[in-house]
Amino acid sequence: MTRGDEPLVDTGFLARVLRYYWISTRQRLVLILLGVLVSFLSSSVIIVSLLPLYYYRGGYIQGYIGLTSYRIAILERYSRIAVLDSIVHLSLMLLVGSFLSIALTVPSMYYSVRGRRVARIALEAAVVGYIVAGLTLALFLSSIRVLLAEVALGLPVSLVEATRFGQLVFHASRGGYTSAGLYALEVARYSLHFSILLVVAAGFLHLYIQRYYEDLLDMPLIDGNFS
Amino acid sequence: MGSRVFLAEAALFLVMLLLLGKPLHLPVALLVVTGSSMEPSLESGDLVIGVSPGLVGGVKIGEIVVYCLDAALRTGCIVHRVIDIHRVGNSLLVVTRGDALQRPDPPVPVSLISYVIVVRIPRIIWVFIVLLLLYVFYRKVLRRLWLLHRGVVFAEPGYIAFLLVAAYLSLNIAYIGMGYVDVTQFNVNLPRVREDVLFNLSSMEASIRVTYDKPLEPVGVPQCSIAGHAAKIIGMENSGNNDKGYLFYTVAMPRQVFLEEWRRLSSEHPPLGGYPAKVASLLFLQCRVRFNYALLKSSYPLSFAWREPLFRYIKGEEAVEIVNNNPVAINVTVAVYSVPSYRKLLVEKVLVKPFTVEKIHLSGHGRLLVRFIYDFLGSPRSYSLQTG
Repeated sequence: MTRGDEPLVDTGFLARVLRYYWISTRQRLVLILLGVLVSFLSSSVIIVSLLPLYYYRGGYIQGYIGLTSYRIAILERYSRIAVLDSIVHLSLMLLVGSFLSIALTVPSMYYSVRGRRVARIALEAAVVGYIVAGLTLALFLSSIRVLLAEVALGLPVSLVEATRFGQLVFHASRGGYTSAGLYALEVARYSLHFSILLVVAAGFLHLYIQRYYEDLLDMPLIDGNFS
Repeated sequence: MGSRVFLAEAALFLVMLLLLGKPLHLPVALLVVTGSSMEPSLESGDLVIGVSPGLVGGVKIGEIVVYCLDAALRTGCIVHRVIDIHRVGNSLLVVTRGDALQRPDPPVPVSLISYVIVVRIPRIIWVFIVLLLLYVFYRKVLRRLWLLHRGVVFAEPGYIAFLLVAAYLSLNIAYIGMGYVDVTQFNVNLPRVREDVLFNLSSMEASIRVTYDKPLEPVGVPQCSIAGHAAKIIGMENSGNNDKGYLFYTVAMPRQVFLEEWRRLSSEHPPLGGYPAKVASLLFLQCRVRFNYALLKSSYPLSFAWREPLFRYIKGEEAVEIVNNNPVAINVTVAVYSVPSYRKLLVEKVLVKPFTVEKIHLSGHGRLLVRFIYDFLGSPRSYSLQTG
């Protein structure tokens, strides 16, 4: 292929994938803001997932529970709690989803900060990043609800057992949220809203990628003779 | 080829519709079994087809049924076998139990039964469902994603994102599906405590043995009281091995308690009946044993009877005996008369201590009439006996 035969629009695979989009300042701002939001929320989910959220001290039950780990000792014996094992198992998706969403949204942020030219692959990655972040937030909300509302508050901190001639009153434990637990409640309070926001944003971005610019770029080359 | 895709789509649609049967309150539903309570009849992951009880002529003993704790949203559903049906008034109560469980579930009204299970589909069916899903996905979606343009395959705009989201969702579903949330009830295995008590009224002592599971360990000395009076711990022994331990302690009960009980009953003048009268009494010894993780609060019932003193003539010794089987001392006035003149020969006041026998010698007087006069629980009583 000689120099004069090169197509005006390169339609090769990499060129298609790495095609640049020209976006407006307002669109850049939206991408940056969404990227910051995803990074902030995903980082929060990672931090909250790794830290103890609720503790028990003082009485017959001691230890802590978190999303990725728990340690509950009842009368000095460590106990396995089936529902907590399930949450620990599921929390892997929280960590994977959070890291993945940050990794997927960073390229679009990078391009948006640098200028108006954004690689198409970065926009597509951002779509996935927003959806992954949205789904992760929804999963986080469910996990927090089960963990804190049902398990943490459901474990009896005081117990009385009947004996033949009276009762055995176990020393009550003090249960409470850790700082991370209180923060998790705050994040969870807005998780559903942000989750919907991110999925809707991903939908719009996907629509934007598909319809507008690609339609223009895919138009056949016209030699200019309109007569 | 087209009809094959159509059949696959129709089958998939039917499966989806039946899976939505439960929340949509359809008369037929496809349900996924989770948990192990129905093993070996049903295993976790099995699919079952449930039919509304009205369509199969109601619920019968031996059938596997589905009932939901939240009847409106049909959440918290349980698949168990019917083991009994009771009629209470106008309503029917169904008792169910998991095949692998020992205890039956609490009875539920028959109106809560959503489905009767008619068909069980082994969980291997999921492989076919997933294959079906992949086939339809490939035919309807995947084949259209990649386009051929001037001899080069490329992805349409937005489809890379679409594929990545689909991959992530599949990963999520597969991973979460592997470990459904196990909501098995969490039971706290608490250490057990066993108590045995033995009262000895003659020595005014109570012996208490507390056997306990580790890691419970007694701390300090038990504290006891009876009828508001502190009772002293006069002996304590604590021992055990790695799993079990025991605490044995002896409590001295103050006599004052029994005097007060005597006075209380005396003021009430209980009906005594014929000689020898017996009046039941009940006191509670209350003890607190501190353990490292718990406090044992016990109330040991001390049930005993006040017995009228017994009077006996001992022929060989020419003496009379007064037997007091009560935890308080009793004053007895003994009057001795000659027979047959009934001349008073002797009057003596005797204090018979608790659980003791007092002996009065009457030698050298011939035939005698001995009269015992005493107060028993507020009532003046007397007893006479003749010697010789």
